[in-house]
Amino acid sequence: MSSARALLARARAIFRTDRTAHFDEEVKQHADLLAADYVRRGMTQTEARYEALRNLGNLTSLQEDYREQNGLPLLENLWRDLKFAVRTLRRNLLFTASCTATLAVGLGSMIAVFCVLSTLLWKPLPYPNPERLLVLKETDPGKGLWPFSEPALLDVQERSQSFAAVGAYRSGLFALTGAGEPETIQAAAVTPSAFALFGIKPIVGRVFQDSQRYVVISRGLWKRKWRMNPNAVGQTIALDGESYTIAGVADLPTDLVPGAELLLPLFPKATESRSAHEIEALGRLRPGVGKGQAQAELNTIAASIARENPHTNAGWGMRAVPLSDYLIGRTGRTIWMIFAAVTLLWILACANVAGMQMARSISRRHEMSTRMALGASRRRLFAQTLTESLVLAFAGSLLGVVIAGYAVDAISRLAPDALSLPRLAHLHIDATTMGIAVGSMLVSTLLFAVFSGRPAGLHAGREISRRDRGRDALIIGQVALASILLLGAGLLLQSFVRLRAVNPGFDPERILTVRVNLSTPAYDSLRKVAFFHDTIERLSRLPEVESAGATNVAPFSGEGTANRFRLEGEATSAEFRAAAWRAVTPGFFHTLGIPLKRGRLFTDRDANGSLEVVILSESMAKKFWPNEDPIGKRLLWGRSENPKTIVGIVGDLRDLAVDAPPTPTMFRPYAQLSDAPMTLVIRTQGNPEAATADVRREIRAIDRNAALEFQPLRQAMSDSILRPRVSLLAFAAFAAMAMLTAAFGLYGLIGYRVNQRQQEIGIRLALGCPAGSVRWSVQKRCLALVCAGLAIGLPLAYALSTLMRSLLYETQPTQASAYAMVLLVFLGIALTASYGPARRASRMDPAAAIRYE
Amino acid sequence: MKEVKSEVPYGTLDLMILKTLDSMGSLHGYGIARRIEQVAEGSLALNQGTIYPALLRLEQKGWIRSDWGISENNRRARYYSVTKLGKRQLLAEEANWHRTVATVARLLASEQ
Repeated sequence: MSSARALLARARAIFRTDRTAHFDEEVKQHADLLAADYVRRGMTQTEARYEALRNLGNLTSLQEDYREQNGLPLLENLWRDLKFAVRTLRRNLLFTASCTATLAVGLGSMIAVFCVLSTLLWKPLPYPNPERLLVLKETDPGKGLWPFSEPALLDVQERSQSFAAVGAYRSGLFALTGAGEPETIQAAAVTPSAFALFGIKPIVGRVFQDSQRYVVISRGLWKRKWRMNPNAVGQTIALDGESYTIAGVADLPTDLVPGAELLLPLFPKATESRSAHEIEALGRLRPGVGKGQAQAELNTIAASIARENPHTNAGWGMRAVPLSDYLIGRTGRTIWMIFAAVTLLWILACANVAGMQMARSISRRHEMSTRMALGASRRRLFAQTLTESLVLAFAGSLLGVVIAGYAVDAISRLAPDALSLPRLAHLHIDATTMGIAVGSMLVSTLLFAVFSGRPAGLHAGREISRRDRGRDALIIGQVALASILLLGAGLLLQSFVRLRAVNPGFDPERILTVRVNLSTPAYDSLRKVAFFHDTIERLSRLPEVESAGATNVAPFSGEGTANRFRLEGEATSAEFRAAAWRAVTPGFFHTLGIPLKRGRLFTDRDANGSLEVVILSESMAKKFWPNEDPIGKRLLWGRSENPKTIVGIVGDLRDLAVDAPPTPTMFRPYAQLSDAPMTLVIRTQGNPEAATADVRREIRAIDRNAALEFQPLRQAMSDSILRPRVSLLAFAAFAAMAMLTAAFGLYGLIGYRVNQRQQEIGIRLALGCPAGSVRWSVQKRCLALVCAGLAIGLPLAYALSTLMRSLLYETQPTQASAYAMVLLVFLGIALTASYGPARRASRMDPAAAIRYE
Repeated sequence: MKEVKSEVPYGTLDLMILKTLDSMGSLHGYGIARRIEQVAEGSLALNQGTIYPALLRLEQKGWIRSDWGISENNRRARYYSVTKLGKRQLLAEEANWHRTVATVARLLASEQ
């Protein structure tokens, strides 16, 4: 109580301008009274005066005590130190800017990566008991993972004991009509058990159970189409022309079907084929049941299925993968490695700042020793250095958090698609992360203090030389690290340039793709075929359209279809063969500019009912008919016993990913295999997007309600190389950071050396050494350090670069040009970083430099 | 025989000032110092200046208050007096002091 009152009184006193005014007046009065007393006792005036002052004690120190008592010295010193630090740092703007920049970049990247780390690895999946969720896969005889078939899911549901619930989903695009403008939405068909699996609770309405005709919509769709009106529940909508009633609104899990806005019911049928692997299965373990136990049970079930259905399932098995592993997989380890790397960079940045401070402290030797001579205690001087460190660390950390903010923003926009990590869409800087930022600020302050905190000018000479060797090693290490990263970035850049120049097997320029979702189920095969035939004909008549065709899988759409096939004459149990397939119209090849290699293309005469034909891609022909001409040969497709005749071979397509080798593909005429939905490919005269309005009008003239999605093929193609672009960006950012750190480190160290050698340089200059030679003697040192770093870094980079092979496209990790580039860049850095200090050295005033000390 | 003057034990100056103000009423700094020296009868080496930081400390704690008055040599002077809070503090510290002294005395007696 009284101490709080005292604190308040003392705090108030801070703002008083003259704090010892009372003291001075009272003591003077005291001395007068005392002296008068002594005079009364018989002393002379002078004697009395002296005696009185003697009796009062050491007035200077008492005044000091009084001043301290009348204020808060600790706080005031801190404030004074802060002001002084800010002033000093502002005077050395280059020093301050470089320290702040290295620290900020280091801390910023550390925070951003930490955010990713904590979001992906530490935040539990947003479902109840996520550790019990398993993704179930079927495995082919070659141990490849496949989605489930519907009968297999029913088998697991019936026979397994380990799971509390087993469910499945299948994603798909649907034309949504009956709610404003027709549009195509991403949706997932799910078994009703999925709600229990994921713990999905409706916001409004309810979830569906056993009814076929109900759907649950997402909050986003609810907002977009119904403006969050609760009356949406109970309304009827149509998906691909089939009507459904909205049962409720819920937050849908985003992990498995990114972007799904609607759930519709999926009821697996035992009558479906066991070879149609089309649904993704999930299981929730019963409490107390381990993953191993579930796997053992799945093995038993799979074995009995294989016994019962040898035609389709011989050699097939099942595998359970924990959901979190399935979603994150090996990414987790990579992120840890990246985190370790950025933390290392940050520590190096701290060490560099400390080193630079040490360099500066040498030039402040005079200031410090003067202050000590005037009675400043070592503690005060240390506090001063510490305050300066704190100001630097604070500025750097603040800027670092800002950088982290931007980085996190960029990651949350790019990563969900580029790295297939939808959870990163919600990445943000939270309290924990801010805590880390503050913590690292304090740590960096301490690091500076440890490296450079002792009052300067007090190091013993021997100590300095020992520290120097440590700093040399540090800088060499930094150069080595930066050179490794730079080499990686260089290789990725080359690979990226090549990737952009890849010939995908067709000409993507001026191509507009239109995904068409027909609105009614009334379209049977014949009508669908007729629709696309008519549409393509109408489109071809447009003046801006050169030609048009259609395919069931648009290039770079991220989709794909594959099927098993047999060569004619093979038994059903023969070797497992599968290939991608596409259903295309006759104009498809010509429109995309896919060259015919042998045989013929499809024509309108390849209709339903005529000879069933197939065209192969070159790689498929080579793979399955290595030394013969496949034209005229026949193959059996899927379960069908009707053989298809091979009539032509076309050039390979890279339509799944630019950097993947072409997939063996077979083409079927759309008229003989009508699939839905289809994508129109239209080659236009000019800018493909300019044709959008006309194309829409023509299609709507045939089907008013078709849901259409337009995209230039060029754009889909560059989206498809988002991943390599992101890894290039990430590597380049790392390399830039490491280079920046190394450059500042070099600059600091060389500056320090120059300060140390001031006297020697002065003598040289005085003896007539030319300025150029002094400059060279400084720069030589920097070059030596960089060369030592490269001598370690480049061989290491060479050894490590083979690890990068999977990231590189047609680029040898041993490419000499990349090494040459690294060498040149670092020579440049060495010369730049040492230029300032070298110039300073050569312009030193010899007389002043010699007298220094 | 040489006069033995003891230093002012740490923390007792506050107590002495409080007690002086309590028994003498309002006093200025010189008055307090003189009173303490009179009572000590020359056995205490008091640097008289040290009472000013002590007075400031006591005032900050709210145990004494000060106001300006006119001294015996007709000059402006600061007069200090004990507050209610100060009286309570004095009682507590007095008791505490007696206890400490008694303990130390008993200890010294038993050691002989």
